[in-house]
Amino acid sequence: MEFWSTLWAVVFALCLLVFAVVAVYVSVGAIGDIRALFRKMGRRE
Amino acid sequence: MPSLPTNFGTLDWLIVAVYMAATVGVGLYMNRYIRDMGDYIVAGRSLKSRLAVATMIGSELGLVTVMYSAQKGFTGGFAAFHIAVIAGVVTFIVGMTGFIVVPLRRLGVMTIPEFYEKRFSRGVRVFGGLLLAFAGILNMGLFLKAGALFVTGLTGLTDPGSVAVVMTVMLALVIAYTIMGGMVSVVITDYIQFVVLSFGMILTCGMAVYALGWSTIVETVAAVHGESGFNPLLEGSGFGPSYIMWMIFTAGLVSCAVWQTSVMRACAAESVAVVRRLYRWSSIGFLIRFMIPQFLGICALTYFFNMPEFRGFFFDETGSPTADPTMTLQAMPLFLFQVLPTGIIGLVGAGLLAAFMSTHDSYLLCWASVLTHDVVAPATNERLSTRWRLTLSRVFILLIGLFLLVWGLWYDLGQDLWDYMAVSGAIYFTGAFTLLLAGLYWKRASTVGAYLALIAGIGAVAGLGPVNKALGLGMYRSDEIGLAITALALVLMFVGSLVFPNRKDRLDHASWAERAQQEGREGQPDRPKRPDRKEEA
Repeated sequence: MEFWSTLWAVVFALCLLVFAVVAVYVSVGAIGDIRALFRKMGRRE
Repeated sequence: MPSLPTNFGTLDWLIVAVYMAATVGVGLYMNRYIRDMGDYIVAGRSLKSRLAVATMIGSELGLVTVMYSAQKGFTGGFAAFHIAVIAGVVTFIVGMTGFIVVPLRRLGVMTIPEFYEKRFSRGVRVFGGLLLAFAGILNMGLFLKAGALFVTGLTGLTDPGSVAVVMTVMLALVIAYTIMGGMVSVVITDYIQFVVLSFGMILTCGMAVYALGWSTIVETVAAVHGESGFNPLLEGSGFGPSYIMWMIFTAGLVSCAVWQTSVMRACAAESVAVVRRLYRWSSIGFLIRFMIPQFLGICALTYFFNMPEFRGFFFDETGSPTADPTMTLQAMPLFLFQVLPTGIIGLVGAGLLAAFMSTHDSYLLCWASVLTHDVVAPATNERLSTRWRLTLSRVFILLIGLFLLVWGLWYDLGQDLWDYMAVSGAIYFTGAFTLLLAGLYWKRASTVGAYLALIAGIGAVAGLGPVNKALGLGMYRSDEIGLAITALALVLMFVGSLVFPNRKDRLDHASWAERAQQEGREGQPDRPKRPDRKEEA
């Protein structure tokens, strides 16, 4: 049981950290992508 | 349901109202960009990597996912984390290999049944489309109920009549902006939801650990579940090896590469390179969308187990979690609104309610599009004009919404929500997986084999709680039935294709694959290196 509880604690902490980094990167980067999407669809309009 | 005090106050109501109004407003505004079915279903295939990742995670991290994952954490403890790890690892592998999704994107199809017609026949497309829509609509049948339970916990309302009214209003709002804005509105609202929920949930995890203490959480899980609360390989844990196999298939492969709502994101991507990157980046989202809610479910278990006055609602006399799925579903929202302070509750609540709307809009759009694009249009020899297709999709969205309202209030769950969803989805995906696998990678797959595999998939309905009881199959768990049906579909595809091969006048695999590659090049750019760097810049 000790092994599993340590494993899940490490996995959980690691995943939360990686997700936080991805969330910042995607949230900021997607703004540019939204602008590009509107430009592209606006041009066709 | 227990009547617990909640920290949800006027400020929180205000935050929720402003957030909801803004989300709906943005969705309605997007109507100006809709010109044809391509814009409506796959946003003109204009999504770049980061927006595609945000919308993929935003759509999949819905309120219902949060609710059923929290329930799994409550009933299974830390052992439920294996579902999250499997989902993340398999999605990453799909991103690395391009398994299924890359060939589909190269073909330029908008839906999976459209692939059926290119590879097999128009009849397979119509039949597969009907099955897909049926299973998909059944699968989302309890979304409203889960949402209603969440709202009950959020606001402290105990009158079931009030909850039904609130959910009807929510559904009406979702239907309004999905009907108007299609995929473009879905993408933008998914992005807003991604931002709010991602940071809101990370913050919530931190506050939950701060309030309860990590060691208390671990000790409580050990006291309630014993070793089975940590080790998913133990048979007595409610999981075990066959369940893990079932999860590799459902939570892993199917949810990212076979389930239509995910495949739609791949089809909406700008290029094959974007598809691969989308899956690699989304893998952490696919993992976290299970893991964080499961952890919050574990925190709810800890909180209520250590509160003697409320323990009776959630645990039986032996200290095990109650067998009533409604109570285990409600535990997480009730816990959240005890622990989080005013203001933060409003933000998290608004984010989760937006998640509820976002999942609904994606799914409504998806199943309505399948019915229009893959059932009605082929059945009328593609004579429907764009205007009629859009109108028909909007009518289907309305009808599906009405069905959800009735089904959500009527159906008696009788099992964990996640298991209900896996089984109802299996009616479609056991057959669909076989058709995709054989159709894309086995040159002798035939139309008869495809029909047989789709028909075999219908057998998965035996895994639903009430059907399982009615058929006297109680000795078999839903995961065992699902795996058996998947194996049966594969065998029938193999045998049917060998015994009834396609006629010579149909395209053989070599020429079909060549055409697929060609269509990919002609349809959209498929140049993995230079455009990637350009896009990143």
